Amino acid sequence: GSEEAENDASAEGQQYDLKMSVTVSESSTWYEAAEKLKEDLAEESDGRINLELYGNEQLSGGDSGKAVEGLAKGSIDLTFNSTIIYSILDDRFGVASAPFLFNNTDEVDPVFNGEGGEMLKEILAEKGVHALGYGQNGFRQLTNSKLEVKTPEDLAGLKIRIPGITMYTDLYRELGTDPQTMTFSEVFTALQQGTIDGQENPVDVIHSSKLNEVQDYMTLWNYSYDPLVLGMNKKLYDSMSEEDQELFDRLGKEAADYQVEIAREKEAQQIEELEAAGMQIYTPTEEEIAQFKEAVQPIYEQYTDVWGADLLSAFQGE
Amino acid sequence: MIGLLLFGLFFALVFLRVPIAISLGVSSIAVLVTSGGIFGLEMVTDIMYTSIAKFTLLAIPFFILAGVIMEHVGISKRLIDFAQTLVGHRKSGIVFVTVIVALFFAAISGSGPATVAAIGGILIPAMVKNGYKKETAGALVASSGAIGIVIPPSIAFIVFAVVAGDQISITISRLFIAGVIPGILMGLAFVVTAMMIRSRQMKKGEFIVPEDVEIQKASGKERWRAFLGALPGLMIPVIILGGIYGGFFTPTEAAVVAVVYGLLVGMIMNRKNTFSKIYTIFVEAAIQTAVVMIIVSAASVFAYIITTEQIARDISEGIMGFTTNPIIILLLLNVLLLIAGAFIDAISALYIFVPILLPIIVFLEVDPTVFGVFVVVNLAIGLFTPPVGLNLYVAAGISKSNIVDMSRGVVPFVVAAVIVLLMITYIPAISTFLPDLLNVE
Amino acid sequence: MKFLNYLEEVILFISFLVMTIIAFSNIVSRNLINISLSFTEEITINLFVLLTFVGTAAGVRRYAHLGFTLLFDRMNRGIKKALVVFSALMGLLLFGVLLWYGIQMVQFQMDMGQKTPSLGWPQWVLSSALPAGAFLCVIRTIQVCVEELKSMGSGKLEGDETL
Ligand code: NA
Ligand code: NA
Repeated sequence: GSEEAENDASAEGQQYDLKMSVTVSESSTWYEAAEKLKEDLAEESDGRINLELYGNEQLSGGDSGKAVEGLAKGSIDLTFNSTIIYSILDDRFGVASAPFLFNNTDEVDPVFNGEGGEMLKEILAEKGVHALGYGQNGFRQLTNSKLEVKTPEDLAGLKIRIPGITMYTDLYRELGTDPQTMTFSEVFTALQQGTIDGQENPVDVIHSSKLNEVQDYMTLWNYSYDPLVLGMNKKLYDSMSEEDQELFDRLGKEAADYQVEIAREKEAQQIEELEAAGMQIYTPTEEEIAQFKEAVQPIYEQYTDVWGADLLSAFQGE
Repeated sequence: MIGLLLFGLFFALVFLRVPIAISLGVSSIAVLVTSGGIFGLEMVTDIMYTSIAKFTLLAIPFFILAGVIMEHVGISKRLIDFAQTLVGHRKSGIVFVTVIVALFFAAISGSGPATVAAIGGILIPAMVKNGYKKETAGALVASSGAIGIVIPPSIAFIVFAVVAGDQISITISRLFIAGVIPGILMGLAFVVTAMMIRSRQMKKGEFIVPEDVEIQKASGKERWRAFLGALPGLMIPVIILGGIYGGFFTPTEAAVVAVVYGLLVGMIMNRKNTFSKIYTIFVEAAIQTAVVMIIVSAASVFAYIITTEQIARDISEGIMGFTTNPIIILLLLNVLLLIAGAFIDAISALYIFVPILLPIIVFLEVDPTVFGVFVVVNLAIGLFTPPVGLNLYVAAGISKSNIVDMSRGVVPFVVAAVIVLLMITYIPAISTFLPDLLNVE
Repeated sequence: MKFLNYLEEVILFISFLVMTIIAFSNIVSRNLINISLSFTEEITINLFVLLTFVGTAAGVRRYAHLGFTLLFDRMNRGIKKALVVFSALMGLLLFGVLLWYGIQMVQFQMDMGQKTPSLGWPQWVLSSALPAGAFLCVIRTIQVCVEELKSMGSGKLEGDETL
């Protein structure tokens, strides 16, 4: 009774100086959303909660894996990181990026706001991370310098740079390509000189890295969704008063939703700009997408046990 | 205040003969602890680990290894002999050879220290043989190697375009082409500098050409024989360039190809005690690599504090508060970047300074292409400016000279490079002429 | 200490050799048989970390690390001895921090079951390179300090041994 009240009183007065790491630069939607969170927290706590933001993953020497490790450990308080990065902590995170899982963003939102998002939150909690909300890096799209890719056959033998994650390697092997993992800073030159033929990334990354200078074709096949977790160190969250926890949950969700909103607006504009810059952009038909889905079925057979059947069906909206 | 502690402590430690890497690390640790432990010391481990565990940096060990192999196998000596028959009879022949080879390798490598590692083992001994002091030879190679990040391909320009692309419109292709003329200008400036050093030392009687050096012009037959001997070595740039532009491997991988090629040539040319020789070569190259990499690693913690403690931001705000005259501001930015380049590596500096300086540049209406070249040339100079100049350390290691002598030896080359830098700063056409001519947007 | 010399050299040799073989195999396989081995990059970069820290330790023993000796060379023997001890303490501070937090980093990665992204290997196995190397650096720093003090006592120290 009285002891609790005392604790609450002291917790209310608790001053927080927190640091948040953002993978990309200050002009990104991620950073803009982080700034919104910072301002909202400062305003609603009357300056009691101060969030210091660091772009370009500065807090972990530019390494996103280290940022996630730091968040779980508590050396970083908050981060915006993709679930693809989280898969170093647990294989189950890979489910969110399963191939051709969602056709479009309309199918994405109900899953992350529903059971799928909740289940992911539980796994995050096991790893010491409290999820405040989900943002988006966007659907990953394919670019290449050889041909307009419309069907799985078009991919045969292409050297595609992919993220260094086992699932993507298996997937691109299944699709008949010769997948490469290469550090991103070398990708531009490698594409220019033809060491590799193509790469895949969300439109935002393709646009900001100016890959249109070295890639003629882009296929908008929405093959793998790349969600962001607005995560907070769980020990820190658990140590807070109920009021503060509620504040973080509410404002965090708002900031994450805001990021999704502006990211989608920006992406539409970026696609137009890439097209204007001379990139040939192709959106596969439903039939063609069906062919791709067919081709990647073995990945589902291989990974259902890894991800967990329940988790997968939650993400399949079943 | 924190900036003062960081830099003050670093200098104090360096002057007390604490090795550079340890001075960087310890001054960073001291700041982390005094700033209230907000950033835990565990950051030191994380940052030092991630700063090395980067694929692009692999060009450094492999080019160092390739250099050691070429030296042991005799490839370097044959190359020097060939260069000697071509221009050895000329007054400053070897200087031209050094700079031309440096420009050649710069067009292969995207990084400065890797360029130095690749050419230093061959060219420093060659210059010494021609009567240059070790520190002059080392300084010429250290400074010429810095052209590696000015002439394409260049990791620095790629990073610049990506970082600056958030605020202004600039393409990597345009920056690449824009770097060509400034890179060649730097090379010319270094040739002139080395020739001036030579003639000054000759007047003082300090420059003695050793007697066993062939001063007579070589005959056509001698040149042909030397050419054949040097052929395995001459093939290296051909294989590397052909491989990169043919799309067989990346610039980083090219270093590995040079290593394997050197080993094969060595095994064909010399079949005795192969294993024990390879063992010695690898161990020697590994230690040379570690001496450079531990500095890269510790410097990244230092750079991390400069960023997170907002030291860079304070400095640039100070500049804008000081004056709004564009000519003076550009001069101040040069001074700022040169000082920054003296302490931190180019890539970290790009991440720290470009976002902060861009608003100033937009305000001054400076052409973004010119600004890109301006920043990269500044940071290239930083590669051979003491106290923290990676090229300097690589060259000092190769030439086995004292770092103090090297620091003195490099001064005329820094002056020469700064003159080129001022030309680039105030004559935009040096950067924009070629991309405009070739219509590269 | 002979054993340590041998150990360091063998680690350096093997890790550098394996790095070379892996990197080269990747180029060959990609171009000749159209199979990328690029996921092995993970092994290469962690061997690079091992090489750097073990090489740093070997460099300490060989006085290969870069520093300014200008002031030091002009000091008398007493001050020189003090500076040698001071320098060693600074080295111990940095390498000690790396060792201590390196062990914690490895411990945390073990507890988390953290895996490497491409190969799915336990991350801690690869990360152990850092604390292991830091441990060697600590030993070498102490050894070199003692050696240097001894040689100064008998007046044998050659100033220009340190670059
Ligand atoms: Na270059
Ligand atoms: Na420097």
